[in-house]
Amino acid sequence: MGSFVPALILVIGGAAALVLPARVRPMLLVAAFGLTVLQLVIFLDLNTTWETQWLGFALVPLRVDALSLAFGSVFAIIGVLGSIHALHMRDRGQQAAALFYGSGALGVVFAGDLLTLVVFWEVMAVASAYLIIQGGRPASRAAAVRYLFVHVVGGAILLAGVLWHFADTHSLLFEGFEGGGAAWLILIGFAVNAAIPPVHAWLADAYPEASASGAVFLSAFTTKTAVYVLLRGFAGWEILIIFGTAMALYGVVYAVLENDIRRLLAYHIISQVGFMVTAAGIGTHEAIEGATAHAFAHVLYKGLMIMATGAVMTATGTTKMTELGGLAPRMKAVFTLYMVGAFSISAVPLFAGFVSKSLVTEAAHYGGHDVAAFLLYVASVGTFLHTGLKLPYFTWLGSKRATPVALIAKVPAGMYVGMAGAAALCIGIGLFPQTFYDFVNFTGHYEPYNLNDVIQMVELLAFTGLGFWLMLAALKPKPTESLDTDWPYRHAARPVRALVQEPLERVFSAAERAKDAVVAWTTLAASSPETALQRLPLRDGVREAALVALSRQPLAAAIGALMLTFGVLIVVVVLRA
Amino acid sequence: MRLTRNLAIVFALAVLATLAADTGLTLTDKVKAHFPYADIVGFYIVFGLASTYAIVYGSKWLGALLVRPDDDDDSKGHEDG
Repeated sequence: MGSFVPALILVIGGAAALVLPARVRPMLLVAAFGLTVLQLVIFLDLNTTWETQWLGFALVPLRVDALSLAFGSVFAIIGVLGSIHALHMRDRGQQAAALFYGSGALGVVFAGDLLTLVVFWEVMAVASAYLIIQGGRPASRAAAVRYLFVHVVGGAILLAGVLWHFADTHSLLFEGFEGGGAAWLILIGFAVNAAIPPVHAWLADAYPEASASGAVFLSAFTTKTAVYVLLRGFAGWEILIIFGTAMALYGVVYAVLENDIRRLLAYHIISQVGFMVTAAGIGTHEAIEGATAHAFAHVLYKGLMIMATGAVMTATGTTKMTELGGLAPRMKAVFTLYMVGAFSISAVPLFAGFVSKSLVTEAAHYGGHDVAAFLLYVASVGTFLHTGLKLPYFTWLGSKRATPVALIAKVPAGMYVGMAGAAALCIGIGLFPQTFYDFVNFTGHYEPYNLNDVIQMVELLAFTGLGFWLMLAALKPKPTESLDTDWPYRHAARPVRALVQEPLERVFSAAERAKDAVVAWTTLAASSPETALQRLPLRDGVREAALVALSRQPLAAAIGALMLTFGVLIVVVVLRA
Repeated sequence: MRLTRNLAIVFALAVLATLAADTGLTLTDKVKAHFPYADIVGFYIVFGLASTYAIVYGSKWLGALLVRPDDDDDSKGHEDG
C-alpha cells in the first residue's frame, strides 16, 4: 500500500493551490505535506521499486531504501512545519511554488533513474526561483534571475552529463559513478545545487531575498537533495573531502563579515553542507550514515533558525544586525526557540546536531582523514561563534540603543507553532538518539553520549564563548556587504543588457508601435474609409484611384483593406515570435 | 542586561567545569583523541580560543578585500502576500 511516487501528492496539491480560494490554501499546504509524511512514514515500505518503460527507456520513478526514505521523510516533515509557519500567507504563487518545490525534492530523492531525476531537478529549479521572485523584497526579482541563471546552467551541465553517460553505458539507472567525463559533468551539475565553492554564491545571494515563509522551504530542499545525490552517486570520491572541508570553512569566514542575519545563516548552510560533502567524500558506511543523520538534523534546526529570523524580519522590518539589538525582552519566545536551533547546529550535547555532527567527525577520524577532522572542528568553532553567539547577541541581547528597535508587526501564531514543532524535534533527536537512528534505518551502532566526547565538546564550546567575549569589539557588525564569486555574473549584466537585451527591446518596441498603428488605422477605416485612405503614405494618383474605387465598389475595397490588415498583422506576429 | 549577565555566569561555570572534567579525564588516562595531540590536557581550551582568534582576525583580514559599504536599503519590506 502507498507505493506510488511520493511527489504525486504534492503535485496534486500544487495544482489545487492554483485554483482553490485563499481561505483553504494554507490548510491545503499543511494537508498535502502531512499526507506525504503519512505515506512515507507509515505506508511506504523499504526496498520498494517501481520500474517502467517510456519511449524505450527503462525508468525507475520510485526507489525506496534507507537513504531515500530518510531524506524524503525529513523533507515532508519540514514541509508540514514550514506550512504551519506560513499559515498567515495568502500569496497563491508562493503556496503553489512551495508544493511544486517539495514535489521536485521528493521526486529527486526517490528517482532510481537519471531521466526522472533531471525532470524533478528542473521542477525544483523553476519552483524555487518563483518562490524567490515572490519574496516581496526590493532585490528579490534580480536575485531570482541570477539564481535561475546559475541553476539553468547547472541543469544543462547535468543533462549533458546524463546524455553522455547514456551514450557510454546505454543505461539511465542512477547508481554510483566510477569516473569518466560524463560522471564529472554530472558531479559539476550536482555541485551547483550543493553550493560547493566556487559555484556557491547563488545561495547567500538568493535565499535572504525570499519571504519569511519561502526561505524555510528554500533552506531545506535544494542543497540537501544535492547532498543526497552526492551520497548516492559519488560516495568515496576523495576530491569531495577537499571541497567539503573548504566549504565548511568558507561559510564560517564569510559569516564573520556578514551584517544581515538571514545571509549569515545562508553562509552557514554552505558550511554545514560542507560537513555532509566531506562525509560523501570519505564514503565509508559510518560517513554515509553520519551525513544522512546530519542532513536530517540540519533540515530541522536550520529550518527553525530561518523561521526565527523570519519572525524577526516580520516583527521589525529589518534583518541588519546594525539596526537590531535588545529584542529579547519583547521577543522572548522567538529568542528561546532560535537558541534551540543555534545549540543544535553548534552540536551542544542534548541537541540534534551533537548526535549527527559527531558521526561525521568520527568518520573522518576513523577513515584516516585527521586533517579533515581537524578542519571540521575549526568550522564547528566558527558555527557556534556566529549562530550561537554573534547573531543572538547582536539581535536579541546586549544592545544599549538610544532608540529601541521598533516592533512594527505582530508575529503570527502559526510562526510560533512551526518553530515550536521544529524545536521539539531538535530536542527529541538530541535526547533520544537511538530512536532517531532507528527511525532513519541505520544499521551501524553509534553511541554519541560518552563522557569523553561530551566533555570535549562542552569544553570547546565554552572556550569559544570565552573567545567571543574577548573579541566582542572585533565582531561588532558593520553596515557592509560582502563580495563573493558571483561578482563576474553580477557585473556581466550591463554589457549583456547593452549587446543583447536593448537591441531586442528596440525591435519589440518597433513591432508594438507598428501593431498599434495598424489597429488605429483599421478602426479609422471602418468608420471613415476616405479619411483612412488620405492618411496612407500613397502617391496622389494611387490615392485618387483608390478613392474612386471605394466610391464605386465599397464592398470590394473593404475586403481588400481587411486582407491588407491581416497581412500586416501576420508579419508583425511573425516578427515578434 | 540581566539575561546577558546570567548567560555570562553560565559560560564561566561551563568553562570551569569542563576544565576540571578534562583534567580528570587526562589524569585517569581516559581521553579519546579525534586527531593528533587532542589528548593533551587543555587541548580544547587552546583549540577553542585559537580557532576563534583565527576565524575572526583571518576573516577581518580577508574582509579588507571582500567587503564594501552597504548603501542599499534592501532589508526593508517583508511581504508574505
